[in-house]
Amino acid sequence: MTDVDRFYADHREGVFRYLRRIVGEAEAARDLTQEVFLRVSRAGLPESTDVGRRAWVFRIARNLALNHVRDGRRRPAAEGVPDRPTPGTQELGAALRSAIDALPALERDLFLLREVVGLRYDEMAAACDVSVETVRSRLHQARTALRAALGVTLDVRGQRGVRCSTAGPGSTRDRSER
Amino acid sequence: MDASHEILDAFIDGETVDPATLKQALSDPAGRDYLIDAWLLRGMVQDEIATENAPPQSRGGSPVRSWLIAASIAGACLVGGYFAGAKFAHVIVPAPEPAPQIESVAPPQRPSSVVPAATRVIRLELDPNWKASTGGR
Repeated sequence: MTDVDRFYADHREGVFRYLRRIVGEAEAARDLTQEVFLRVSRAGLPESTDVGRRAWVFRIARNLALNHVRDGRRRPAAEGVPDRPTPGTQELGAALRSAIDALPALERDLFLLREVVGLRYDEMAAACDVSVETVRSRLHQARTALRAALGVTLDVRGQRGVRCSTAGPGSTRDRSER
Repeated sequence: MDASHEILDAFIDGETVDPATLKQALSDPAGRDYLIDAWLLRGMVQDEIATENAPPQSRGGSPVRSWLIAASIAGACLVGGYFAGAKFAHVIVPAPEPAPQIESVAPPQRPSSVVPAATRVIRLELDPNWKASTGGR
């Protein structure tokens, strides 16, 4: 197995999940994921640490996603967040998606890279070409905006309980520090 | 928006934080509320991911349940059929008719079965120039 193959196996899920939330349709996200790794294989992996490579591949993914959205190929804009969402799983998910869609692009991307992919602050900074301080403040703004938009929905979700987890689902921290 | 809560973001994201600053942020009730809501938000995202990754549910539910339903239906049909048959046998089943008589008939004697006498005799003789040879060609 080559380095590129291994890199693809390690990151295709994270890239797909991230793109899926930005472009909407799974099929388009799959195509874009292929495009990302096509570019990776053409360019070859950069001489860098794992952290640098992760940031690099998500920068490619983000640029492709932004182009996709800019070209108007994105799914139709989601409706506004309902005032009183009903406490069904689908309704909670729809409310969350709408609230994320309503965020400014950078805040949305930082939130998704953190919560969906599990990137660290320095990786997000490199992927989005901003400083770590900007990551801190804009991520906080994203969460504050989501919290305000999902007030009632968060209460509903809270009825199911909360589990403390200090890292996102796809966190690569442990892997990179091994 | 309270910028002092940024340290709470860093804390829940597993970044290195200053304990004293974290303590100060957590001493504020609004900070504690923010921390809980940030975790709830994370829970919602993880629920969403789990929903997407879950295999699609078949309409009939689990395979075991489908088999149990099928077996129950088959059993009900068998029992119902048995009782219906026992109750309505005299109505539904007609009286048996007498079996038809079977006559055995011997094939007629055919006079043509006698072998006719020969009318011509053909005799085969070897060619005197014939020689035995080997090979097929």
